[in-house]
Amino acid sequence: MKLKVKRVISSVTFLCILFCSVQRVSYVMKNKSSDTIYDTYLEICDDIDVEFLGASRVIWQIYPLNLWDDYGIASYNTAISGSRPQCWYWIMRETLKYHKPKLLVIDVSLLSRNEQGNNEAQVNQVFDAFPLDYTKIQGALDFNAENIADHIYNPENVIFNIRKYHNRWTDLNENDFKKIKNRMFNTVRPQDIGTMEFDFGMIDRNIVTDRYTISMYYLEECVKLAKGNNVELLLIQTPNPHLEESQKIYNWCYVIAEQYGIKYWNMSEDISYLNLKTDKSTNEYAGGPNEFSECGVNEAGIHLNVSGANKLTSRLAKYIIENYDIEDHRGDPRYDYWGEYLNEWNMVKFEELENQSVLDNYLMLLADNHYNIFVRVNTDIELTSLQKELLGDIGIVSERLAAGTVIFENSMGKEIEYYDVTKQKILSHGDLAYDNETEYIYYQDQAYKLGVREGQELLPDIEFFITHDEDKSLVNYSFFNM
Amino acid sequence: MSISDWGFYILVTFAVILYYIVPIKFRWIVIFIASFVFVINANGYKLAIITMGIVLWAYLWALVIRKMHNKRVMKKIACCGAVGGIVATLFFFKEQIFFVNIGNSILAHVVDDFRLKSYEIISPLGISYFSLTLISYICEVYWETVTVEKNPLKFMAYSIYFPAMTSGPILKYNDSYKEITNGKKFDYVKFCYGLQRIFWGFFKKLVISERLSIYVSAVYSNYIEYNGLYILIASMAFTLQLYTDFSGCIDIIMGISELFGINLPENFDKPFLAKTLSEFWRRWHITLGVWLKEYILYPVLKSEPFQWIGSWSKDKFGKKTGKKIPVWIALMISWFMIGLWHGGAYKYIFGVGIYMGMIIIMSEALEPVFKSIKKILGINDQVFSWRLFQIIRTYCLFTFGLSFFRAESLSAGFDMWKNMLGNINPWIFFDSSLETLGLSVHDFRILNISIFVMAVIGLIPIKTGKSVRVWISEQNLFFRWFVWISLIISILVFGLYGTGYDASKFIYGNF
Repeated sequence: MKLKVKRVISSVTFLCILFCSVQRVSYVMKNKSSDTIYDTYLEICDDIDVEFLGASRVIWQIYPLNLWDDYGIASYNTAISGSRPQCWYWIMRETLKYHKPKLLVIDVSLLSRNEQGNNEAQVNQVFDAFPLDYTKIQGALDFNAENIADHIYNPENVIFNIRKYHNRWTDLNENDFKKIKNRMFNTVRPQDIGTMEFDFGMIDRNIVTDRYTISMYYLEECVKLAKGNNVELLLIQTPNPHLEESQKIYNWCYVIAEQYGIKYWNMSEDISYLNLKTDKSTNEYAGGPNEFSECGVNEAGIHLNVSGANKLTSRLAKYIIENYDIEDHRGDPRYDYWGEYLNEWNMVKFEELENQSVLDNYLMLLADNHYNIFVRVNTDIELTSLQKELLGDIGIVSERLAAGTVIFENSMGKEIEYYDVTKQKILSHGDLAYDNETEYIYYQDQAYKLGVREGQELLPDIEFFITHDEDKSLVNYSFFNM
Repeated sequence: MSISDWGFYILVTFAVILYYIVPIKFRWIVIFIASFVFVINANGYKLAIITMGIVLWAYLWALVIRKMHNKRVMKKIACCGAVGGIVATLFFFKEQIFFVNIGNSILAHVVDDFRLKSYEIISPLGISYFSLTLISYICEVYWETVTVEKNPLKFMAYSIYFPAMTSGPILKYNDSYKEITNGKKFDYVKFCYGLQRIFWGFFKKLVISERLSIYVSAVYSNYIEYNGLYILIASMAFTLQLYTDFSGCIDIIMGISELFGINLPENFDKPFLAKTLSEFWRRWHITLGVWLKEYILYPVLKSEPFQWIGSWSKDKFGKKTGKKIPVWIALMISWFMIGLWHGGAYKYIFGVGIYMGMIIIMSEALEPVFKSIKKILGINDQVFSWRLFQIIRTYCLFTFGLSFFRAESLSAGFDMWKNMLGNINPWIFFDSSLETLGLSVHDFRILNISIFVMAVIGLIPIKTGKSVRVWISEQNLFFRWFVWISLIISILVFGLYGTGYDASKFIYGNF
């Protein structure tokens, strides 16, 4: 009897150690793309009021930390690039087990795309971060090779992902052994400026497709799931030009919204706030601050860049506040730790400015509510029409950028002052003062010499001194030669 | 369902649980049901019926043979009929295309408008194994060395014992019938040993064999472009690949059997330590060798024509040599049968059959010459270096023959020999050429480490006189657990399986 007990204890202990070892090895081996999305989510989900779901346009265009910074909305992106409604449904199934947000926002932008658009990697991205349980098995089995892009799908690779990832042992690095923290809340900040042909021509919202696709089925399932969990649901479509046939599919969202008593907001209907200029006659983008990144030049694949995303996020936030009961948690001690996330978010933004060597992109990145901008123009510069538009976007009139001009600008042109330094030697604006004789900027008890970098005196064509309006920190000092 | 499928292990899990739940005297029923499920699942209904039909055929004929206890001629006819039926079925499924092609090539010289017809058919899984198992039973019944089994279900449980259906071992009624059909008590130690052996089998298959197969395939499937040491290394790697694949599969089968408390006959006994080719074959695919010896070689030697050849050759070549001639002829027949058993193709008949037989016979025939050479050169055959030379020589001789096994055809095999022997290119060891053959530097490292580990593990029983598992079980708990957890993790991480790999097929699973 004693021997039997000993053997049972020994076997159970061994199996526990084996299980933990295999778990740990599986974690190390796996591709962390799912963990980068959901690890931070799972850590803070109890405090999240709004969740965003959808495909890449959510990741690229909706910035939860902007929402927090500007409106105190606690939100998170749980979207996966290129994912279709079937993925969204299973993301909801997984995340709702952990937390029921007050509002779930689904960007339906890929509803019209081919339904076999998900691939095995995306299915893995949905499930890898979550522990193996019945939901995961159900989800893995719900996908099959027929509704997968390349018809290559093996549910075993999702259920036991070490089967898929074990070959990564040759590529392991330090990060594979650590827990992944996604300080960006699953966002991408595209900094390029692109051009493309498009047409935002809208058809009547009553013209609806008579098809009922698998994607539509899963979107309806998402709606039912949200309803069943008492989660308010908002369907949106981020601005995107679509062919008529696709628009008929998106108009189906109005039908379903009415049927289930939820809201559907097609953000393509009014894009004036993005400050885009379109030439309908040629279907070509015709100048102005181009808000689109170069990625996805196709009928339904455009993404806004950082500047556009900031505007879209802000617009969405206002809509949410107006239509839903979402609290402003700024100042709530429970949310103090969000300040750390915000600091890291700001650090990323500041680094982007620091690393920018192209004036166009730099100007595009300046389109941020929180920047106070000091500009000194040393020579008469010739700006391109795009640069003029980009300056206009932050409230600066390009025609006034003559040699010897100094500009103080606050929060996207809310306050702006132009000075001619040949007439006025000492200038001040808020916390910032500038002495044109010594070429020193005085800010927060510190003096900064303009035109000097690493001990070398330079005389660049245009210089920027950027500070943050809230924490008063120095964000960036850069200069450019034309 | 194959031995690498999840389904197979789910079946094993259920069968093991059920086996120990039901009373001991009914445990053979669990084996029967599991085997029956496996046969249907692996073959489909039609081939499963054929499998069952062959087993039933052997069962009924054994009863008939037993009834003819006192009728010698009738008994012999019944035995021949029973064995003939099984051989004919085996022949039909495995060899008919080969022999029809031979027949047609002969007919082409004789008549223009008549050709034999061959059939492209899928054979029942494991037909080469269970057919030999059944023939062995019929012969034993005929020789009256075993009692006839009257319970057809019990007999089926033995004949289609599911782990052995995939790659053997070939069972002998005397050794394995009671093992399989007598219910076993749960034995904790044996159960653990079973699991350990399963994992060791997977290590050999997934970590070593599958990695070697990448290199081997790269060379063999494009052999015209390679020469010299490329082919030599690929051939030597294939020998190792086949060993790790086949012995790995056998380890899994033995391990699964041990979960039921069943011991099956060993199929390998450190073959790479053999000093001669005949010794090698006594250590490699042991159950096939034993089967051929007991049911082909000895009966052939005892047969009247061979008795006559014996007396004739003694008169003709003297007593010493004349005594060996019928043995050599019988040996060649046995080797021919081994070649044919591997498949209806000249490459098997030559590479795994005639070539091996000829080397063994020549080494025996030329033994006096070799002894003289050793004497003249003053070679001491009692030292390690001589034993090492013998081991390497045996490995090479075996490898040369086995290269035909992997070659596309007999002529391709000879072309490879020609390309191998006609070029010397030692620089491939130094200019990273070997890395271009599908295996990365990482893979080479893992391969070398794994082979080293396998060699060390192979040496433990020699040094300690104990099996590896017994030796490990005598170590401290921490070490034991470390070893087994490391083994499992190694398989999970370094094994070649999953998407992009087809590790599901064991080479000997096709026979």
